[in-house]
Amino acid sequence: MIMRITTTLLMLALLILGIVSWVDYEYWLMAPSPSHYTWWWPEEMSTLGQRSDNLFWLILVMVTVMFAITMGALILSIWKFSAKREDKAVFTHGSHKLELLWTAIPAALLLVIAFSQMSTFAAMQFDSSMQDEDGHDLPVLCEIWGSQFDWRFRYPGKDGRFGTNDDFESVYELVMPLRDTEKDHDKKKVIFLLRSRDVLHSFFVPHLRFKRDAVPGMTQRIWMAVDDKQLAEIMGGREDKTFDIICAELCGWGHYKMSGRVRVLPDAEYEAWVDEMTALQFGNS
Amino acid sequence: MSDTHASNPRPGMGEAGTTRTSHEHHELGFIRKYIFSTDHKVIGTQFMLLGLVFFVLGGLFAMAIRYQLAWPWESMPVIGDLLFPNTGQAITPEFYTMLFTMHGTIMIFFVIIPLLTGAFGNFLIPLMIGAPDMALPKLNMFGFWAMIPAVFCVLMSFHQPGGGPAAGWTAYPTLSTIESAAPGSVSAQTWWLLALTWVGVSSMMGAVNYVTTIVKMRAPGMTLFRMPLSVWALWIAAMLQLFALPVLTAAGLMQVADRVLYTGFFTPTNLVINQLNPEGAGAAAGGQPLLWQHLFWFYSHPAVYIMIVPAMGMASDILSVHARKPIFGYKPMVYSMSSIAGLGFIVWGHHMFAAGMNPALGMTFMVATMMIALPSAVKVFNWLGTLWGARIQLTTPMLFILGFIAMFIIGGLSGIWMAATPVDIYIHDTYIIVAHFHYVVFGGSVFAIFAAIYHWFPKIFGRVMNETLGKIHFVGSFIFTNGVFYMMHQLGMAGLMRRTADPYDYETYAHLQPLNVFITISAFCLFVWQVFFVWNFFHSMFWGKRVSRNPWNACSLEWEAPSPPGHGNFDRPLRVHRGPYEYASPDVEEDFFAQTREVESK
Amino acid sequence: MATQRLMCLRPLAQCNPLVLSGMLVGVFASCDYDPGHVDPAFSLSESTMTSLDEVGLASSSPQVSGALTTLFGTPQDPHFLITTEMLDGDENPNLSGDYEISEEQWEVIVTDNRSRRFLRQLDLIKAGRFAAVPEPLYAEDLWAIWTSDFAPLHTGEPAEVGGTAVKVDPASAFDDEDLWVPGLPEDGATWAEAAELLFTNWYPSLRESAEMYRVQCLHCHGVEGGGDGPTAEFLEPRPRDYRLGKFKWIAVDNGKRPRRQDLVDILMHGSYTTAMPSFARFSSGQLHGLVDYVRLLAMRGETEARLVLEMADSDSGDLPLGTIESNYTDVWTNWRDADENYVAADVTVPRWDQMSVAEQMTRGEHGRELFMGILANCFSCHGADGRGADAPNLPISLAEVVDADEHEIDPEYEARGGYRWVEKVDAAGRTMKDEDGHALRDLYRIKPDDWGNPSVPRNFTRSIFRGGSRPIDLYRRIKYGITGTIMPAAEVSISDADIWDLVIYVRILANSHDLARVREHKQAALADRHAAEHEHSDSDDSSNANSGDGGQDTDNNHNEASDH
Repeated sequence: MIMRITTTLLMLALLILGIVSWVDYEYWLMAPSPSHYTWWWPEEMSTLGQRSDNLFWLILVMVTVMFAITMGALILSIWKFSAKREDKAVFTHGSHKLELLWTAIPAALLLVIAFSQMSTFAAMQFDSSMQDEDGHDLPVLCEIWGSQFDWRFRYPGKDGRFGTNDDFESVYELVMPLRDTEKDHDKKKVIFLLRSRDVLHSFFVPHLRFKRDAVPGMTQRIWMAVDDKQLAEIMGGREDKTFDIICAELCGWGHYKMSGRVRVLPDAEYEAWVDEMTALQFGNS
Repeated sequence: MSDTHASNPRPGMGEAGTTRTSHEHHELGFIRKYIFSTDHKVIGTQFMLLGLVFFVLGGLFAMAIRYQLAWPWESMPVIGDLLFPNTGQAITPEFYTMLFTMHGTIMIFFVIIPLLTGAFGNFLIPLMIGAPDMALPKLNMFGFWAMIPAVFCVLMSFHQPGGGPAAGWTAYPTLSTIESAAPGSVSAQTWWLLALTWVGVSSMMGAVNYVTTIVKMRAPGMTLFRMPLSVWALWIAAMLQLFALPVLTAAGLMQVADRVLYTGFFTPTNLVINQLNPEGAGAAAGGQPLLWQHLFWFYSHPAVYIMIVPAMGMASDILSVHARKPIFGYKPMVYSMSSIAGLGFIVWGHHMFAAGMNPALGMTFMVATMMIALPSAVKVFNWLGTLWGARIQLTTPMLFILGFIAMFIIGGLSGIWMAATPVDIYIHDTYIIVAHFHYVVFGGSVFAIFAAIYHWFPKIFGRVMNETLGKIHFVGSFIFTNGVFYMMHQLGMAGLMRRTADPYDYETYAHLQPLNVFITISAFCLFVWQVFFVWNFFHSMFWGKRVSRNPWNACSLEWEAPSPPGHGNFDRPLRVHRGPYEYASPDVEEDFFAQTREVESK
Repeated sequence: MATQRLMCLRPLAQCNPLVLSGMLVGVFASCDYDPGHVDPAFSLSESTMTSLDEVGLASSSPQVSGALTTLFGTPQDPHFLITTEMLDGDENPNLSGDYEISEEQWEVIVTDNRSRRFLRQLDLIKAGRFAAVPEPLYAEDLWAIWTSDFAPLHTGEPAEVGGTAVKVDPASAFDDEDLWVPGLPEDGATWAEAAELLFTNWYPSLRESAEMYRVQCLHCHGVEGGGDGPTAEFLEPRPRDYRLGKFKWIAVDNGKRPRRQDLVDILMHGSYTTAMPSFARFSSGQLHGLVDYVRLLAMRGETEARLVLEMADSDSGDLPLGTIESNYTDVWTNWRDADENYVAADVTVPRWDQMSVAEQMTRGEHGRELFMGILANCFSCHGADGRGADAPNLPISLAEVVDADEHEIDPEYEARGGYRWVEKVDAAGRTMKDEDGHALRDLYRIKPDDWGNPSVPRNFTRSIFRGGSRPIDLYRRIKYGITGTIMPAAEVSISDADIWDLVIYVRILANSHDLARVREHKQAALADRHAAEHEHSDSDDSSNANSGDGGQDTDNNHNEASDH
């Protein structure tokens, strides 16, 4: 009897933990937050982030329901059928109908998930090779170089071409312009080249829901875009309008040191920043 | 426990005590009998002891990792003085990379796989199919002894200049191939690769043996669909090993070649790593680091199933025995395990969604990954179906299996996020992943292993483990396992990356330390709680209660043999008449209908 | 039977529940465990011990370490000793200029602090969420002030947030107000203003910087800054040994002590492709604090070396107080006056970005002549193609030929690339061969720099410049050399204009091998070919650029480099 109660309670506790922690997250997980950051993900501020977050929520709902059903059934059968009794258990070897049912329903759900994510993934991966109206590749803002153990961002400078004398380098801080183009999200896209000097790194910006390995020997064309509304809403009131870049792939003993920040500037301020960096490039300090 | 010692109703089968009624064999010396034994039971036990010893080592590594994450750069107790005299006993970052690398390696290659396929595969297969021994006993012995060089190599890898391997258990190039890239890549990585190769050799010998034995050595009447699910699961796992291992071995040797012969399979041109230019140092270049990832995951994803499918099989067996009810949907179980194995070969790319792989491939892998969730779901539903209407005996093995099911549900469900590519981009390599695979591998496989040890201990040693201690062991383990791994979901949601020695410098992570302290304390408790198990195991080995052949009143063949079975396993000829799960059968008076029992009309 | 023998353990076995419960209680009791760390301690360097040993004064080493402890303290309590001379002259060994010093706490200096890190705290203070202000890293003092003097704020006591503050208890933290918070709010300032100032103007004490050093730097740079931490042996190049007082990436004259700003710059930017990362994630106050501590370590090391010399020179092996003090004063004078050696502060950097290509090429060509010329003599180390140590034929001025049979090869130096086999070349540039057709080779030992590392000349074609790639950085490297290495300061006879031409040439070398540029050229060439082949082109190539094999084309530029 003790074991019956204990086991049931244990399982019940797990069920409650599971449900509460995800469903009631706003109170439970965001409450202990000391600052802007919580036990939930950082606020999303990319044009695509909302879509992947929604996908997360969709899966969360499905998963929570499935969890509740299966754990509920488990708890119920533990409680109900572990009582001492003299008769035999039900003698059955299964049921084809049930098997079909519980194969078909999850299959349907999984297919829903599978198809609902395709367009988002496609946008994430393929849009970096988008072209403008004239059929040219979109211009590259900067090269992102991972090396043991920092991030360096090489900008082509005023002439927009790499390998010229006005290239300049920014360590630690990736500055990107916020293209203010009303509702046209495509025009907000900023293209980068992602590279590694030595070993695998992974360029991870939690706020933008972006992550991609920097593979040595490979140049990857990637894009990120910031939603200006989200940015204003989240960063507007802050002194520090930058957010973290994190290395997400083991790159050696100093992996944990490999940090950076993203700063998003309105177009005009971005141009001013480029001027400033160019002046610094040819400065004598 | 009352039914544990219920007298066996079968005449001539229930003598307490175990006189070894084996055939007239010449007595073997101690060495031939216990060390270089060809007896599958002894080999199984050897694998089990090896696995448990390494379990402690891997666990200690985990504790050190947790210590650093809770209190970064503070003095390590005990080992601090020994290992870090120059830093005020605080851990060094390269030591930390070694810790998680070797924790993963040891737990996967020296604990879970040897315990599941090595120990239980060896012990159960012949007994469950009614064979006197493995088809190839000598090969079986070599299979275990191939683990010894593996152990030697892995221990050697700790003693290399630069310390142990530090490129992660996935050993991604170029971190692992270029000597200057990481301290552990100087020479330890080569030993690590050799260790892996030897483990592969061992697994390969085992796998060949299991497949042969299952195909050729079944007792009369033991058709394929009368085999217990454990045997099916081990068979499927063996097939997985047969097809996947060659790829890992080849990839491992390619990496060895890159490291030792300066080939350039995985090294692209024009790198400068820690001042070393591989081409300048005479190495070939022009390779592709992603090639390793493909090859590695082509093995290691099936390896994930090697680590869970046998656990599923044993869980089904134990569940059915202690629920006193036939397994629900025997054939769907078999089919779902087979399809897990089949699909398991075409989903490896889901480890690489963020790796710069061709995105078109990503789509394919995503759909395949979604589909592989299906058979797992079917299995869970079938276990629940088994429990429904059962007469559940809350014995220790049963408790662990219930824990297994609950945690497998969590681990399985959280996997769906990982299959959804856009979501995976965010959670890839975060602690959600860590939580997910620990729920599957610790909450799943290890709990099933505990259950299996409690369940088959009477058969292995002829004595039963203490039930009270077992139950205490379960309750604590269950609480602390969830204490450790559940909160990792939250760490992952907050974006915390794996393998960061000191995450709190990041603004995004600075507030996560209290959560990590909680997890660490849970982990320490979990570790210490295993004292109950270790105690129980060794104590019961010598002083546990002796039991009859069939203490659990189970139907399958292994319980027809004496406990422990003598050489040749069975003291009588066997004939199988029915499936292994005829509990609560209305055809007989007792609530179990053994596989060998002659048909009697009621 | 072994089993029988084990039976004697049975009584022990029976008390197991008690034993086990005891253990578990112990585990739970330790739940509020909060470990500290064992504090590291300074020790004397190896070279000190050997040189003392040589003169038979090994037993006097406590005298040196005692003197050093008096002068610089311990890692837990670091300080600079204030000598009478300093007090009289009002001089701070940490800083030049007019800073008042107090006797007790004069390691505390206040600099202009544009904090990055603490912006988080400021955000919350401005939003009035005082209770949510998180504890900053490595800022115990700051946190202590915040939790004690501002307690009413973060416990929510003041009725209205932002209301006029009762002045913070002046008796405790703001006693030394000049030291801690230079712009202490006037009476009547609000709490929020006071709190803001606290987090804006905070500057770490040496003790806090030492703690930060322990966590962030020690595992490479070592307790004493000797570049010998546990991680150091795996790194190439080795972490800097501060104890020589020499630093490479500086803007002062060759051999001089670095300015504070030089060290801050290295902390901010890291040193590219070495294991020294950027530490820009910390507030500039914290970085300046780290620099304070690094300077202390460097001064300590230099003083140590000088004291050992003095000791060896004296007959008795005694260190008189005056000797200690004068050496100490010498050392810190050098450091304090570093700013005076600041060079090239007023040169005008040519704006090549506004120069025509033709002019750039002309000047670059002139730079090339200088590069190959005997006066500047760059090619003799960096090679004619600018590939430095990566060139197949090692420039001879860099290394000396050693006889492989007789010369004792230092395995450690060898492991670090200190030796290299080079094929012999005859006058016509052909490889020389022996009778069997094997190439003749010489073993070279690359000359070590002041820290004992092989001096590896930069490969310009990789476009990696550790001390910064800006023109002014290259100018300083050429004009003033690199301290501690065989890279010399330029001859006086080379004019500034010539040096700039050299800089332009080096940049051209770097740029012309630039991966992105090569790729661009290739794509342009490819596009031309496609155009020539009559609209065969479609989207096939562009999708490749995304990933997969897209990178391979960037990898061959090295071969092109050697072609030219």
